[in-house]
Amino acid sequence: MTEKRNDFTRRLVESEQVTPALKERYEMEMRTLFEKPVKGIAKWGWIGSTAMGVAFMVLFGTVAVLAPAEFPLLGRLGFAAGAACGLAWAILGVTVLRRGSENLSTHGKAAAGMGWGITVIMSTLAIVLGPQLPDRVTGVMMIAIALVFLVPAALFMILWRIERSELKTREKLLEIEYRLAELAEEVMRKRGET
Amino acid sequence: MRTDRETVYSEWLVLRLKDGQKPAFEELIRHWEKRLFYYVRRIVPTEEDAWDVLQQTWMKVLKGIGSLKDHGALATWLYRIARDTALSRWREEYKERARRDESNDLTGLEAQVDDFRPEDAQRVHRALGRLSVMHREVLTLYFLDDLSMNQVAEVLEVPLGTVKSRLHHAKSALRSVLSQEDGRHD
Repeated sequence: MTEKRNDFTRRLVESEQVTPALKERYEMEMRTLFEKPVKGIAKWGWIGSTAMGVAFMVLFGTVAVLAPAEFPLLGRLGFAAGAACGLAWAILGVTVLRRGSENLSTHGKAAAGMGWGITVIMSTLAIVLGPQLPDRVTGVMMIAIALVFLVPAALFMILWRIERSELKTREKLLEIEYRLAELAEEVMRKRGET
Repeated sequence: MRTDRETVYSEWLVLRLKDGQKPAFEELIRHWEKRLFYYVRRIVPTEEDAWDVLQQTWMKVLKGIGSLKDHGALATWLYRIARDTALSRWREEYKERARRDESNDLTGLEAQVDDFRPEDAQRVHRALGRLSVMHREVLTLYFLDDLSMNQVAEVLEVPLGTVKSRLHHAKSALRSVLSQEDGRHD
């Protein structure tokens, strides 16, 4: 009965005649479904953030290279990491601007990841450098401000990791359940045939 | 009706969609495109409109997948989005067509046999075009066999009893159109 019904449904759906030109146009539009055009305010936003990326790269890179010899190594590494983040951000911005569109699947995730990375690096840098400042009050304030950013960023990361691992576990369980159901159907079909 | 395997598959697919996996979205389109197009085509006036509605449907699905709470209700959710998208542009025309069709609809004949043979699919497809838009819609959902009666009621936003009676009349009308065609060919 189910086989017969499935066969009927399949044939019914296949009875639909489509115009190739219209289907082609639809498929072309579907290819851009994950693309969000970058224009107007969004374009200026990308231009601004790319310029900021370049500025950070130059500023932090210069400090990392030209800082006096007595400057702590950790701080130098932190600035170098900040320069790398600025460069990565600038590359992302240039890529999006050259394409004229943002890929919702990849660029959005990359931007969010980099935003998080920059926050953590800068906050860590401030915490490392704070105690070494000659003015203790400024140093403590620097650490306090950095913690305001670092704690929520860390919390966000922990929650995100928990959510991801829960999702992955559920996904794996469902995959197993699906494979078992597939197997059960196969066994039933074979039993029916014999 | 959907089997256990299909229900589990839907849940698994929704989870991967929520995870933002692009291949899962491509899989969703591959799996549902033809069926949703068939359904949408039965309720909008032209093929071009149907492709437009389908594209908009996918956009809404992509944006709204995070809000889908019941992972097992993917089919109902998809048909609802497709229907809402189609009717957002043609609601008035749909109502007008439904009113117009009602007056010259072919009802009255009792549906004798509940099932249709696979060989009848082509004839049924042609005959659907001669039914009222309301009968065509409920029959299409019935034939596509993705939803339970309760789910069809949910998609059409009418009580279960209305779906049952509409389906009964729709089958009678379909039988009538088919026997008229047979008579013409004899």
